[in-house]
Amino acid sequence: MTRARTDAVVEEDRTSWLVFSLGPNQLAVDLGRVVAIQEGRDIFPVPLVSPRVLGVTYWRDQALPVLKPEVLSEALGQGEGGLRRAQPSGTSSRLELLGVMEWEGDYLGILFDRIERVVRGAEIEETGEDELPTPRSDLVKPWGRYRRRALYRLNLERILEQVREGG
Amino acid sequence: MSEQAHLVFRLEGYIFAFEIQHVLKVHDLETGTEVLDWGEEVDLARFFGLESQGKLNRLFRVDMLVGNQPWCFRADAVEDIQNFGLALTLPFPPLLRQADNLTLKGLFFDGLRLIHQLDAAELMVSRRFRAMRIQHDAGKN
Repeated sequence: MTRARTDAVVEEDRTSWLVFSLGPNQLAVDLGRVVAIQEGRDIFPVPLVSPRVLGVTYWRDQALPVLKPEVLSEALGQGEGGLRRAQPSGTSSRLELLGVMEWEGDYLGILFDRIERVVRGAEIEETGEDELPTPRSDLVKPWGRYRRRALYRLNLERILEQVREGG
Repeated sequence: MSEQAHLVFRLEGYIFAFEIQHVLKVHDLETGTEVLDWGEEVDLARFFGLESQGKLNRLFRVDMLVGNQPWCFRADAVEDIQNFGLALTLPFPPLLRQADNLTLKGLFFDGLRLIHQLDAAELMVSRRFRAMRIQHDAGKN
């Protein structure tokens, strides 16, 4: 293991991670990227934006873009096929919670079912990437196991990049 | 965003607003009154890629004059003229901004509804909008 790799692992172990569930999947995001968590609100679709975006919701005097949950499900290989749209009149998501994530000044809402826990990286059982089902895209990264369930990390930078590019 | 008066209209369940200065006339097509041609008629639902809600309800025609260019579009419903003084004006999210959606100027939120404020001037220079006008002309000839 190189020095740089060692430093990264130590940093990962010290970082706090928000572990949450989305359907049968368990995902983690660096707690430092989570600006707010609130109950799901009405989400309104916006035309001519990335098909990965469900719509926007009102949050702190701004229109917050919300990612379609299917984007993450499909990245994990459990998509329902095709990206659906929110209803134009506004729709309450079937998912309970909305996490507001920040990356380099951009904000994105991510819907999920429930919070599992906030954990230190050291609490994650490292399994090696080969032991977890390989994701279909690089929007999530295999990490390890938490409470015996597979755990994937959100690749927030890549998700925002795709939304920004409109793809 | 300005708090100028806007004409609010519905299209496939979406709510849009144009500044009133660009709106010349609204026709209720159900009255049976003769409606004269006014420039090219552009399908805004197609322009914005809106999914059909199942029934075609274009009961109103709105005549526009932007700069010196006359054109018109059909809407499912037209609401009162509003100035959104009590609504929150929200900038269009920078994360979602693309060359394709410059015609969406910003958003009004009145607590229940999200209204898309359209930029009429930007619409006139939009390549896609201009292409649709040309296609319409070709279809006429």
